[in-house]
Amino acid sequence: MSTYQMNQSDGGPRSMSGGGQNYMDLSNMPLENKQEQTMMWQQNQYMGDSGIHPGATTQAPSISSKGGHHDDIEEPQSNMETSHMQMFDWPDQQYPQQGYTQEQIDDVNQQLNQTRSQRVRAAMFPETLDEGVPIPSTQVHPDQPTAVQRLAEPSQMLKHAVVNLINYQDDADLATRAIPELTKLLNDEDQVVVGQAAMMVHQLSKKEASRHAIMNSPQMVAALVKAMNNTSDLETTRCAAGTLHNLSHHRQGLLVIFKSGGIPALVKLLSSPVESVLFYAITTLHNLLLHQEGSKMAVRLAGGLQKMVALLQRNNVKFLAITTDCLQILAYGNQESKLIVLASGGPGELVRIMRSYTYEKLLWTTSRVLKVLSVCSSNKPAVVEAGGMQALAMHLGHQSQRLVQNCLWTIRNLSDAATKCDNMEGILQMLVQLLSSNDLNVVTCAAGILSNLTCNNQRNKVIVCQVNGIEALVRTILQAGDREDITEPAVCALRHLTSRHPEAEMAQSAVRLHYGLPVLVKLLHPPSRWPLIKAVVGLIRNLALCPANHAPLREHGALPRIVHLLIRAHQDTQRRASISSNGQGSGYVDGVRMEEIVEGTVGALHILAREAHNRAVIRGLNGIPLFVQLLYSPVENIQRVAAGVLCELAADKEGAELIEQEGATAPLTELLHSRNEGVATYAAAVLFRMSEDKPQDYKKRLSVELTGSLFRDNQNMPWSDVQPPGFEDVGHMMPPADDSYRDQMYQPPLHDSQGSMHSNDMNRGYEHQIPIDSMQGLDIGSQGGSQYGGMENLPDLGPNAQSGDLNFENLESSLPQQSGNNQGMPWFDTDL
Amino acid sequence: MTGHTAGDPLECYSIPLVLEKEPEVDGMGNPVSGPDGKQKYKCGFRIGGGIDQDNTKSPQGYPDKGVYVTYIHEGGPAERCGLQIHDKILQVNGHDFTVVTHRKAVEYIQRKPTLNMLVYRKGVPAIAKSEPQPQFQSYSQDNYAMQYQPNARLS
Repeated sequence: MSTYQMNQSDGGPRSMSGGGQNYMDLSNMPLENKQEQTMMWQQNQYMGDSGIHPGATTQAPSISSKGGHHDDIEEPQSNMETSHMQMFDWPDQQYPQQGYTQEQIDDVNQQLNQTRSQRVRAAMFPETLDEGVPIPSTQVHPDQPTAVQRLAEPSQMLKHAVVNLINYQDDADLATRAIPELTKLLNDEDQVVVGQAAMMVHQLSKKEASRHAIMNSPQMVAALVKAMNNTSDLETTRCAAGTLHNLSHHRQGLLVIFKSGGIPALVKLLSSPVESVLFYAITTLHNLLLHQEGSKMAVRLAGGLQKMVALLQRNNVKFLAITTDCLQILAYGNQESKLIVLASGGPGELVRIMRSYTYEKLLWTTSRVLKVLSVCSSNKPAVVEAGGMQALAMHLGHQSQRLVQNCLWTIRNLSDAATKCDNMEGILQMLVQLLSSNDLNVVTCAAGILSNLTCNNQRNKVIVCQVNGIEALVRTILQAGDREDITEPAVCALRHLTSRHPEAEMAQSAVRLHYGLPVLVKLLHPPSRWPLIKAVVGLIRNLALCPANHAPLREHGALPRIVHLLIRAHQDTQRRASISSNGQGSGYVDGVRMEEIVEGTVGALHILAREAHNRAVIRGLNGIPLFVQLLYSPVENIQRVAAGVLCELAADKEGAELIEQEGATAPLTELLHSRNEGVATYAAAVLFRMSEDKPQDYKKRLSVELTGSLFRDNQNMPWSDVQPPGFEDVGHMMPPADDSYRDQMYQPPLHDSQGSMHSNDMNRGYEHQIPIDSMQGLDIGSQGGSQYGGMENLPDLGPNAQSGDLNFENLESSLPQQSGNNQGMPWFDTDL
Repeated sequence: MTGHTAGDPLECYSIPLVLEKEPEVDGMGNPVSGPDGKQKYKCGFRIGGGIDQDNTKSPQGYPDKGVYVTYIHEGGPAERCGLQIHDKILQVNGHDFTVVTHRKAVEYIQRKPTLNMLVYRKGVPAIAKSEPQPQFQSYSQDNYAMQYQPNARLS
């Protein structure tokens, strides 16, 4: 190591460039090799004893015996004096003060001298040390760091400052001199000049200090943008784009690009045939979109969306990942953007990407774009039609959790538009498997999707039953406890699965066999909220279609609870009706109307009442007066189910008597005239059963009345010859067919208590409702032996008609044609 | 400008109009409030169109999915400010109406009591194609500082 000695002869002001030969004059250093310079500077070190001793306050080198000057500034490199170590007082040390000969002291000094520079270098420039060279430590006391140690950190900081200065010294010059020059050159007429200038700027932008200089010059950036826009030379474009790209890694850079109109220029570059230009442009735009406020709007306005969608046809996966991420940022929460993506053919391209690539990041970003599009009612059908459901389902077994979750959310959003899809077997099977996942989000999504996909779709229902969906769903409900996010869609799915398809009966039994009944009855109790209760009531109604379920349901206490819910809901509607001015009480609690609860509970009791014991329980719970009251309801559906349950109850003599005692005859006779055929039919049936014991002339009068009212549209046709309208095959032995309680109509795409369609990013609640079709199946037969007198003019409701199912099954739903496609929409104007 | 595809950049001359809405009054001259308790205003015109509508079904035969004025009430604020039937609305209070759904268009119009609009009317000459100018857009790009000038760059 070289030694360094302060000017000892020159007592003048200390200057770094004076005198000492060993000191490097850095101002002449060439531009490169900053690192070398620093190295050399580091090497010009101090040596010798600084006269600093542990335990004592640092003394100015005046201690030294040498005559050299000293500083008051405690800079390590200036305190360099060689001196002999003197024998000082070391008040904190415990060394014996005597017993050291001068020789020994000299030896110790020698050692310390030799290692001192090493130690100091280790403290200040640890990166220059050779590996593995041990340096003996001079620390005598663990609590007391040596002076070198104490000075280590401040010296480091100082070192960094000086290094920076060395670097920036030149770049600051550059900034002040070169940038304005280059700006002028970029604005030059001559394209060659512009090209050269652009190249230089690009080079400069690669180094940090000069990059900052560029960023801080709005004129320079504006000139770059202009050059990029106007040039026809590819190199110029590339250099300018590259520069902007480098700038875009800093907040200040993003801001200046934004302010100089960089965004429209960059968007223009998205049409470039040159790959590097394209990559620079998209990456820069990506950075802007991520971090610069106002960029989104600017990119949209510059037509960025269309261009990005067109770029989805490229095949570089990293590029695609950035592009799709840009699309996601732009489209999120912005309806117009989503429509533009749709118009540019986005859905098809995105689905194709999901199908074709395996790079996880790309799949993830693409799934996020699809998720954003999937809440838009115009995009949804397009995504589904492009095969989006299947493409997303391909990745449901992927090990990347974020990918699986995004795919699930997207599929869930799409699921209400996908009920007409084919080849859903794979998806449905996968979903049933996912119900056993440990991740609650996954389970919730899977349940929601299954619920939607099984709604009104026979094929899907059959498939789910065949892949053991019932068992999986029951298990899910058992494990979910009171997590209604999971239980509600799962119950809805079971409700769909237990009616109106060939395997429905099997499904109804399967719920029982997998121990589903107790937990379902439990869910009728608190803390369940109304949406869940409504779903469970509907499911119980379906389950009651299976005779084997009657007894278990009764034993688990379903009947009293259902009646209780009915009473509560009914009281609520009465209360609202009395409060509201127009006499109609219609209010939502938790998104559910109490009329719906009334209808649902009575409907469930209707089916449960097929069994004699159940009838007895219902009578015991004082249900009949309530049902009679409900006959007066203005809601046709409620009238129908009330008449239906009374019809069942009237099968027993006690029941019939009670019904008559409650004064049901009058309202029932009214209802004979109802335009709703179901209502009228049930009303007729109840009256018949009630009239069992009446005298003959009563029966005759009744018969006339019934004939007249039921056939008011078809007066000329005698009853007995012709099948009454709306009645199918009554009088035959009908197999106990599935009661066509239509699956609840669902409202895409929002979470609605009726259909439980779940959708990200949308509000809950939906204004209007598609009314449940009044043509519901009528099940007039009941089991357990009922005796009627055969009235010859009437359809045979006698003992031969076992569970005669008046089936309005095959009526097509009257869903409004909701084609999300623009072409389907009418054209109308609005007055303002 | 026959048939501008929504979402494409657009550059054309436009007519700036300022419409001051009129408070709505009932037959006796009392102000009418909406369900939220706030005063209702009348603009005095009807609009049709939007990107979610099918313009081929429009009785007026509009060429594209922009928002058009389909009727002007006589003596109303729209007539007074110079709006004419079949005007294509390009911008209202800074919102771009060339790419907007019908519902959104209605919403933007109903928001404020004063409408600063830019409309395109048939007969207005097209911009002569010149050298592309350096794009010095206003510093806050969301905010159209150029609203009141006839040369509107919308994209």
